Order: sequence, then C-alpha cells, then structure tokens
Amino acid sequence: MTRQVPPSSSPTVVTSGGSRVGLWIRRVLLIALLAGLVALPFVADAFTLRLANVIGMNALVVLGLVLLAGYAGLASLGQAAFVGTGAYVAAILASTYGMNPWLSVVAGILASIVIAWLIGLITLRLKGHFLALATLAWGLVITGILRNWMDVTGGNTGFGSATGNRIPPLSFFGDAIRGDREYFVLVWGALLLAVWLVLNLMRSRVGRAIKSLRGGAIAAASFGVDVQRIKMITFLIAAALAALAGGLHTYRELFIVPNLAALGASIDYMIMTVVGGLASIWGALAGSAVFVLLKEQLQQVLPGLIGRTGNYEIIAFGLILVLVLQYARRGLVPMIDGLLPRRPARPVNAGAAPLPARPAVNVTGPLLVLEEVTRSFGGLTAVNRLSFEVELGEVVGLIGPNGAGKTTAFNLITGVLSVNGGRISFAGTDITRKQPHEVARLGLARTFQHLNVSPSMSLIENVSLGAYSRTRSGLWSGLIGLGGAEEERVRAEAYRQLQRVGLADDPFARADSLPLGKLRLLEVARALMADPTLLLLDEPAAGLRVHEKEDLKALVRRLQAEGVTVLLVEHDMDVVMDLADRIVVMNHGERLARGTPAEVRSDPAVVEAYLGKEEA
Amino acid sequence: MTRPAVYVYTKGGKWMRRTLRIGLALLLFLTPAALAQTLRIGAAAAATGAASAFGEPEANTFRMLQDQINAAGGINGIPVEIIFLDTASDTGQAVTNVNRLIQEEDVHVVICCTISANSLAIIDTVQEAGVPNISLAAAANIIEPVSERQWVFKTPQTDRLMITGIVEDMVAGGMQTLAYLAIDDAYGEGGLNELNTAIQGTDIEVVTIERYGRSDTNVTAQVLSAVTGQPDAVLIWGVVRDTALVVEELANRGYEGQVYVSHGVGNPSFLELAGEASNGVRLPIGPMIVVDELSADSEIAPVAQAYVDEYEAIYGEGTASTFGGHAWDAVKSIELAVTHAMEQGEIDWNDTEAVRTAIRDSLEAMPAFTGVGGVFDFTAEDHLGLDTRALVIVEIVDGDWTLAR
Amino acid sequence: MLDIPLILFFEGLTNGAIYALMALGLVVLYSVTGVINVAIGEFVMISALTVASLRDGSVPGTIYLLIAGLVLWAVYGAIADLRARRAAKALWSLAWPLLAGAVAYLLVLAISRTAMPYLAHIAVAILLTTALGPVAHRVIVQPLPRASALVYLILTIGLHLALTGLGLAFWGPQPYTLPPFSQGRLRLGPVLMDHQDIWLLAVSLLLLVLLWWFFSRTLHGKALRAAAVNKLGARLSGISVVRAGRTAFTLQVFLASVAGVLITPITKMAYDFGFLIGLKGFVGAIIGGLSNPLVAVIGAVFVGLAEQFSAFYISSAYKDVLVFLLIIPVLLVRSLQHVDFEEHVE
Repeated sequence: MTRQVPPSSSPTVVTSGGSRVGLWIRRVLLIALLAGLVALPFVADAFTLRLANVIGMNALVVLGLVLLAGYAGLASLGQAAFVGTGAYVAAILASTYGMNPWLSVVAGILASIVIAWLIGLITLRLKGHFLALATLAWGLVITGILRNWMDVTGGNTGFGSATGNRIPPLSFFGDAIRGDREYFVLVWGALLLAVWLVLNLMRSRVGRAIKSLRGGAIAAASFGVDVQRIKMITFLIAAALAALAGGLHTYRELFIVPNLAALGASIDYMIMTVVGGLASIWGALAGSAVFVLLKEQLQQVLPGLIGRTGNYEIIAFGLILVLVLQYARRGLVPMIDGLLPRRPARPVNAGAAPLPARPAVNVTGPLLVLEEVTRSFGGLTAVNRLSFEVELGEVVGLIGPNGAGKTTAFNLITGVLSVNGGRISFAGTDITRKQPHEVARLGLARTFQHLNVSPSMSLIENVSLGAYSRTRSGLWSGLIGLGGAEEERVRAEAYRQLQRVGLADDPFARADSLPLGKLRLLEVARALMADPTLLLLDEPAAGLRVHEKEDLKALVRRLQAEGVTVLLVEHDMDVVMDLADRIVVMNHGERLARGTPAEVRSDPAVVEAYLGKEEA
Repeated sequence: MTRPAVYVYTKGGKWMRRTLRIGLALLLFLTPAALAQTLRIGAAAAATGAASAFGEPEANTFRMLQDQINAAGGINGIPVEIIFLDTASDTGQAVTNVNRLIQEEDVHVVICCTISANSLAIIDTVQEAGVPNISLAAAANIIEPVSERQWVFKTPQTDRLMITGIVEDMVAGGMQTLAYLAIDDAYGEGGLNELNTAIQGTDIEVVTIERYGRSDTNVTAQVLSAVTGQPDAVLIWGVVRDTALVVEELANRGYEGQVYVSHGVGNPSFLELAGEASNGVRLPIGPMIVVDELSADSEIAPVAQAYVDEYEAIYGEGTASTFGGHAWDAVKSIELAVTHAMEQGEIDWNDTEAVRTAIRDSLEAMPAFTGVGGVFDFTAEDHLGLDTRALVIVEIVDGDWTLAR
Repeated sequence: MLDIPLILFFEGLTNGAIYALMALGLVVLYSVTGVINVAIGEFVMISALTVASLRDGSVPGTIYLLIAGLVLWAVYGAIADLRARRAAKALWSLAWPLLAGAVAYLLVLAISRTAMPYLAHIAVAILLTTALGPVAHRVIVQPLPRASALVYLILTIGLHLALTGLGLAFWGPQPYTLPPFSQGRLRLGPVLMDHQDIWLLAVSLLLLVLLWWFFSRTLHGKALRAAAVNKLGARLSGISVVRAGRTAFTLQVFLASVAGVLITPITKMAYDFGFLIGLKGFVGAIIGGLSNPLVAVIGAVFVGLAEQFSAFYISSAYKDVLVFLLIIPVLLVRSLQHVDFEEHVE
C-alpha cells in the first residue's frame, strides 16, 4: 500500500495508497455544493430560499452539536435555549436599548457563552448524561422566563413590531438586509465560515484533543489533555454557534417567540444531528436539510394518510431517530462517504523537524516514589500502605494475584483515583493530588489493559493523539488554520514512533485491521509520542500469543536501552521475569515482597501466595 | 384551464418537485399559469397543539364550505380551493405555513391564524407580500392600527369586546372585586391587558392575578390564592381543559361568588369536562351558541342556525362551536368580496396580485353582511366591523348554555 | 384561612406521589440497564386514554401499537434464530408473538363490546399498557445492547415523539376525563379531600411498599438489584441481563400506567400531557442521583410540594421554572462531592 519516495529526493514523503478517484469525487461534490449555493439565490423562488435559510440556521446549531455529541461524547438537550438566548438578547438590546444590530448579535453570543460556562462548571465533572439532563432543565427554565417576564420579553405573544417592540433590521452600509434572497448570503456565508473554522479546528491540536475524548476521559487525560477544559471549550463553541443562529433568526423574522428556546426545538436539533451523522461536520448540513425538507413533505402527506390534520410528522421523526440509531448509527454523510472509494490520507513528511524533546530529568534518588499509599472503597481497602520506588532507567515489574490491588495502584499513580493516605512523587515532584493530565504532562505515559484505540482512525492518527503534551498550538490558531507546520511535525513524529515499534509498514491502515498484539504495540507507540520519562504498561501481555509476547519483550528491552524507565504491571510471570530488573509483589493490597526476579522467585511468601496458587 | 378543487387532505406527492427544486435549482422552471381560474384560499389554523379546541372546528368548517361552494357551482362559476395547513398552535410553524401558502401555493387570500400570537407574527409577512389575511384570533391589535395593517382583517369578536361584556355584567350585578386566573400563554396575557383597560372608569378592582400552565395537573395553589381574597367574582381566562380544572377546584374550595370564564371554553366538551361544577358559570360569547333562544327579530339567528345544522349534519350532534363560526364568517366574507369584485369589473385570474388587491379592496368596499358571529361591516377604518350584537352573556345551567343577557 | 399550608401540603403530596412513581420507575430502569427513558410520561397518557376508549365502547389504539410491536418482536426473534441456525426455534419465535397479538386483539375487541364495571376497564387498560413495556424493550432497546446512556437517552426521545404522535392519531387532540374511583369527600382534620386523592395516595403508597418488598425480599428482585450493582458481572452471564432489563422496563411502564389512571380523574388527560408529568418525575430521579430509589422518591414528593408552595407563596407563573431550577443545586452538590477522576467514565 505504501510507497516511500526514494531517499534521493529529500525530504522523505510517505504517501498512502487510496485512490485519486475518491479524492476527485469528493472535490467535485464539494464544488457542486458550492456552485449550487452560489446559483440558488439567482434561480430559486422565495419560498425555496426561505427553506434554505431555515436549513442554514439549523445547520449552525447542529454543527455545534456535532462537535459536542459526535466528537466529545456530550449531548445537550437544551441547545435551543442557547438559540433563544442569542435571539432574545440581540432583539432586546437592539430594540429596547438601541444597540447596533450587528453588535447585538455578538452580545447574544457572549451571553450564551457565559450561561454555558456556568452550566459547564456544574455538570462537566459529572457523567455525560448529567449535562444532557441539566441542559434539558435549563431549556425549560429559559423558556419559562421568556414566557413570563412580560415586561422585558413580551411574554408568550412574542417580541417584535407586532407587539410594539420594533427591531431594526440588519443593514450593510446603510442598506437593510431584508428578504430571504439577501439573507441567504448572510446565513450561508456565516454557515460556510463556521464549517471552515470547525474543519480547521478538528485538524488542529485542540481538535485532536476533542477527538481523543471519544476514547474516554481517562485515555484523553493520559495524553496530557485537560479533559475538563477541552469539554468546556467544545460546549462553549456549541453554545456560541447556537446563539449565532438565534441572532440571525431574530433579524430574519423581526418577530420572535419563546418557543424558539423550547424543548421541542432542542429535540429537533438532536434529530438533525443523529440523521446527518453524529460525528460528521458536513452531516450538520445534510441532517438539517433532510429534516426541514422531510418535515415539509410529511406535513402535507401524513394528514391524508391518517385522515385528520395534526403534526403527525413527529411519529415519523421518532421512528427515524430510533431506526437510525439502531441500524445506521454513523448517520447519513458517513454512510455515503463509506460507499465512495477511499481517498488518500494526507501524506507524512518524514523529514519534518522533530518535536522538541522533553528535557532530561535531573533527579537525585529514585524517579517514582510511593510512600505508604492507601486507598479504600467503602469498607474495602484495595491498596494498603504500599511503598516502593522506581529508579531512572530501570524496568520494574508490579505483580500479584487477581484482586491484589495492582490496577488500583496503577490508577493511583496516574491520578485516575485519588489517594486516601500516603504520598506519591515523580521526578522530585509531589503528584499525590495531581489530576491525570498534570501527571501525564510531567512525562508519565501509559498504555491500557483494556485496549483504548479508536478503531476507525488510522494508525498514524491514533498515535498522533499522544503528542498533545509536546505541542503548543492553541484554540485560536487552530480555528483559523495556523499551526499546520506543527501538525506536520506531529505526523512525522508519529511515523517515527510507528517505526520504533515496528508498525510503519502501513501507517494509514485503520486500527481495527490490526491483530491484538499489534494494537498493544500501537498503544506503546502512542505513549512514546509524549517522549515519556516513565512508561507505565498495564498488563501489556494479556491475551498475546507467544511470538507476540517475544515482540513485546524485544521492544521493552530496546526502549530500556534507549533510556526509557518502565513500570510494568503484569500478570504473565514469564514476561515479568524476563524483563524486570526488580519486582514488587502485591497481595491483598499490601506489598508482599520486592527484589530481583531471582530473589522474588525464591521468596517463600510469594511462592505460597502467588506462584503456588498459579501452579496448582 | 381549471384545476379540480381538491382539498389538501387528499393531496401529497409534491416532494419530487421540492427535491428537484432544491437539488437541481438550475434545471427547474416554474409554470404558475397552470393554476389559473380558481380562487385559492390558504388557510392555516391550529388543528393540533394548545389551541386545537378552536382550530379543529375551524378546519372542519373549511372542509365543509369548500365542498358546499363547489357543489353549488363555485363563486359565479369560479371553483374554490381551500389549502389547509396545520400550524400546531406554533408561531414558527404559522409563519412558515403562511409563507408557503403565499409563495408556493400562490394563494389569493390567507385565513390565519387561530390564536393571537400566531396572527400577530404573520402580519409582517402578509403586509410585505400584499396578500389579504383574515385572522380567526381575538386580540384587537391584530388589526390595529389599520394604517399599518391594511391587509389584515378578522372575524372573531375582540377580547376587548368580550371583557367589556364581562365588566358590564359585573357592574350590573354590583360586583367590585375580581380575581383573575389565566393560562400562561399569549391568550392569558391578552386577556389581562384588555381587563386592565376595561376596568378603567369602573369601581372594579382586580385583587389577585394568578397563572397556570396548559397541562398543569393541579391548580389548587392558584385557586386558594384567588379565594383567599374573597373576591365578588373570579374570571378564568383559558381554554377548555384547564378552565374546567379551575372551575372544579373553585367548587371544591367552596367558592360562592360569580365565576366568569372566557369564550375560549365555548365548546361542548367543556360542559362534559367541568360537569356539575360548571353550573352558574357565565361567559361572553357569540350569539350562535344559544341560537335557539335568540329573539325572533335577530338577523343573526337564521344564519347561525343554518350553520349549526349544516355542521352537525356532517360532524355530529352537539359539535358546532363559535370557533367554526369564525371560519365560516371568514370564508363567507371572501366569497362576498370576490362576488363584489366581479360585479365591479372583469377579474384577470392569471394576475394573482391583481386578484389579491381586488379582494382586499372589496372587503372594505362591499356592503355589510350577516354572519354566524354577528353583522360585519368592514370599512377602511374598521377591519372587524362588528357591533355589540355580536356578543351575548351566557350562563351554564344544568349542563347547557342559556342566554343570560 | 389558617389551613392553607395544610391544603397545599396534601395537594403537593398527591402530585408528589405521582412524581414518585415516575422517579422510582426511572431509577429502577436506569440502575439496571443504563437507560434513561424520556418516554415514561407517554405511558401515563396511554393507560388513561385506553380506559377512556374502553368506556366509550371503542377499541383503543393501544392494541394496534401492541400488535405492531409484537410483529416486530416475531421478526427480530426469527431472524436471530435463523442467524444462529435454529430453524425449528425460529418458527416458534415467529409464531408466539403473532399468536399472542391475535389473542390480545380478540380479547380487547370482546371487552370493548361488553359492558363492564369501571374497575375492570382500568385493570384491562393497565394490563394492556404494561404489555407495551416488554415490547418496547425488545424492539427499541434490545437491538442496541451495549450503548452509552447518552445513546439510550436519544433513543427514548425517539420513542417519546413516536408515542406522542400516535396518541394524537389514536385519540385526537382533545382532553379526556375519567370518573373518580369512588365519589365523595373525606374530612381529614381541617382538610377536605376527594376520595380520588385518597385512592391515589393509598395506591401509590401500596405500590412503593410492594416494590420495597419485591426488591428486598424476593429472589427476582434481588437478582435485579445484583444486576444493577454489578453490570459487568451481570453482562458476562448474557441472557439474564436482557431479562433483567426487560423486567425493569416492564416495571417502569406498569408504574406509569397506574399513575395514569390514578391522576386522570383529578386532572384530565390529552395526548401531550404525559410528558410534563414524566419530566417532573425526572427532577425527583435526578435528586436521587438516578441511582438511589429512596432519595428519588423523597425528591419527587419534594418536587410536588415545592410546586404547590411556590405557586402560592412565590409566583404561580414561575412555579415550573423554580421546580426545574431545583436540578441545579443538586448537580452542584454532586459535582463538588465528586472525588475520583474515574467518574468521568460512562
């Protein structure tokens, strides 16, 4: 699949197979879409343009939901509340306080961001569905306020000139932007700009961090991602996009009603997101278009079928939601994308400058120290006064029978669990109370016992996720597409790490095409992206075949030779005995023994507690 | 070319057209000429949602009238097509539907909407497009000021008229304190606004104002709050189910003063839902509801009786309500306006805009006519044209409406 | 009137009891399966309107819903068997739901045509609605065995929309009422209560006690609790997870359908009224962290009381706003309590 450009032409560029046809089909589709959009205001009638504008404004909201639900795994059932906030703040400021309409839209966005920030503070530390429920409740609250605070919002009747609050139209150099034809340019201009920004973002460092949330918060944090902050950023972007849609709605209709913020609207946005494709940026446009056009049709057809008027389209949308989730989880656009020939992946410029190396650790004494570390769950003490240390350059094995507390100890070191008592320090820094991402940023990288790779992403993309703590680009440069040079270096580094673990044959293959043994190596490569001082391997040999274990052992030895310190939590005695310089044995949450493999092997307590059982 | 009058319930299949239009806009060209020689009325009412109790009889009436008019050979030979769209009582839906009716269906006149909030929201649309609209909602500011609402008419009595009727009834009964309980939507808001205006210059004082939700399961707190002030009268401004709930709760709490409700409950299902508790409740409403008690010289009686008979022949005994009557009045006024316009001169049915203008002008210019809800005399200054003949005070006695005043 | 707080208290208790049934159903289902069922309120509506149909002598749409679900069940079951190459079993999997559907239809048809006492209609409606529980679990939830709570949430939003729309198609937009179980009023100290209020409180209390007994004393109930405590362990044993989920779903729908017939004589019911009742149950369930049934029940009763007292003493217009705002401090406290990073994980 992969061919390397001969070394004579420097720098070395690695390209993938994939077909040029796939690339061209997508380009043609994109150009056709853009051409259609340019042509639409000239050829379409007013009602079609009106629908197109509705589609565009919905798509803005859905775009935010795609980021939030599709990439960050957080659902909001109150997105309409942000639309309503954006719309009403803009309308009230422009009408009652005479603010410039354009500025009022910005003010509406800011107001939404502030509200989203407060909701995020409360809920983003909890499980994902609490955000969904909190936003749902918040949507009901906002709607209630809009309905009842009559003096300010005009109440249920609505806010606009018909109720005595004249909203001035948006104007462009003195010309009022009225009518769907002119508004079309504004709405779709804003939408395409937003799509461009989001596409940029998802190709940037922050985008990689957002994508890494899909593998779970623990994995993301192990790359050094501040999960809390990244979730918040995503939520705020989604709220801002919704508020922008709200502001645009205000100036198109010049008359707004509280239902804009109601739960029904939030549910509609969720349907659009699921139908178009939860994790598909272009799906936002498709989902919105399908929803709006289908609703139009169903409203005409269904009453005829049922023999009575009514909003029966909700039956269809309910069933569509269920069926899409059951049988087409990825949604419309990713499904179509899967039918087209694959497009070639972005090539890797292997000659790009390497990422900055982590400064060498300068510690006197051991690299990692656990002192009397204790953790209990309810009445059960999982880890009891555990002490051991890991010296720089060593390979240390942490072993013990099932339920001995190895995994808990691992989670305490990486900050996933908090400590009840004792102290942990790493490279001279106290990490006892540190968050997982803070620990990771100090140079402590890990792999997972239960594999944590994104099956649909390529090897190189999976490995790139690990680079977070070694890169610097921020949100804003990511949004406008700067930081491309850094991304090129990340990909080159990922390619080098794949070479290092022996997976560079086809860096563009999907991760789910690899067997288990290679996936473990992939996780090691991803951990190595952080240029770690200490590498924690969580049962790396579990489920591996004999020759795969040999590959793994060879790799660990090589890494040790290259100066990486390794802490190995392992069940497999062969692997540990072969690799470890020293071994710590745990049983019932306590340290049972420690020493060289030979010492441990001959320790009678160990033989009885662990090896004895194992052989029985 | 005459298109047969097909009611929208039985038509569908426009999705091909829509899909083509959006997807291949370049390839499409329109042929509106095919739609000539039919009077197209676009109706958008709340067949479902919060106001369905009003909107459903309206939808039924549209269906009935379309069949009747066409069976009688149309209006001077012009067939009528009433294109009905459900607003689901939702403002966004109402605006979209009216836009569709005007731009897609190319209608000559719009009848929208059932409720005031929707009717207010579509004013800009019909004013900008230059299409006459007849609203079926109560609020007076739908048609006022006429200088900014040239294209908007309405047929129901205004809530101002209704509330004035209540206030007069209270004054006649020597009542002075009033508790106001209203549904927390635009209808309830409108009622309160008009109440504050109507009591000016009288001795009546509003002592309590409480709100409740449309699907609230319980209104005890609000009723207790109202009863605590021991007002002479309680006015409940809501629709069928919620009003029934409040009326029952008032009876439960032993309230003995006069209970007034809005014309929003003028629907037989209210009598059933509220049961015995509704005894003695009074409401202002169009005369149709007590058509058999109207005096012999009432010009409204025969029209209203005919409507009730026709409606109930199709939809069942005891189903006719004043809301359907508003729809009847709206369609009739259009029919008469078209007839009037045709008498004034030839109408070019291929020129939609000319037809729209002709209908609007004729509505103002044509002579007064008697409808189900009263005697209408639209003028350039008054786009409702009703007088006090359009209102009676009805008392519920033993589960039936009886004329009180 | 000195007894106003007392009246408000009893009214709040009545509503709170209904919310408590919702909250309990939500907690049970969530802890066993991870499903947050947004459509719980629709089952309240369906059971009430089914009674209305039966009393009216017409065939309730519920039966068509049940039959449609059973047909899907038959198809799913047969396909699963065929994939597993069990042809004989496939035939049976195909046959029994269809037979059950046919029998149910004939029964309902017969019942709708015979005069029966009110309480019999209520029993039939509860039975019919509860039967939708396992069906909904089989055709909606089970095809997605290991989805996240979030996906289930969106899934049941779909169910909510479909059931609301079907409610409209079956029963139209108008509200229905049911007569109270028995007429009359009872004086409790200074407070006069309708018999229906007493029925409601008594039946709810009885159900809560029965459930407590079920979960703490019976084998089946203990198995359900075990499944809730250790999902992974239960998952490993395969089949019992499906059965536990189905039982929990059925239980939830049963609670909702009882709530429907209890509350409708007091409040009346239309196709779209169930949702708000369900949402208020949600507030109670969230107060219980979606996992603690006792706190959820107390929370739900608190919601009912808060609603009444805030409507009287603060503002009737903002009472729903205040009720839903209750969630915020609850989540804040939970957020501050949170210690381990691990809780981020689904």
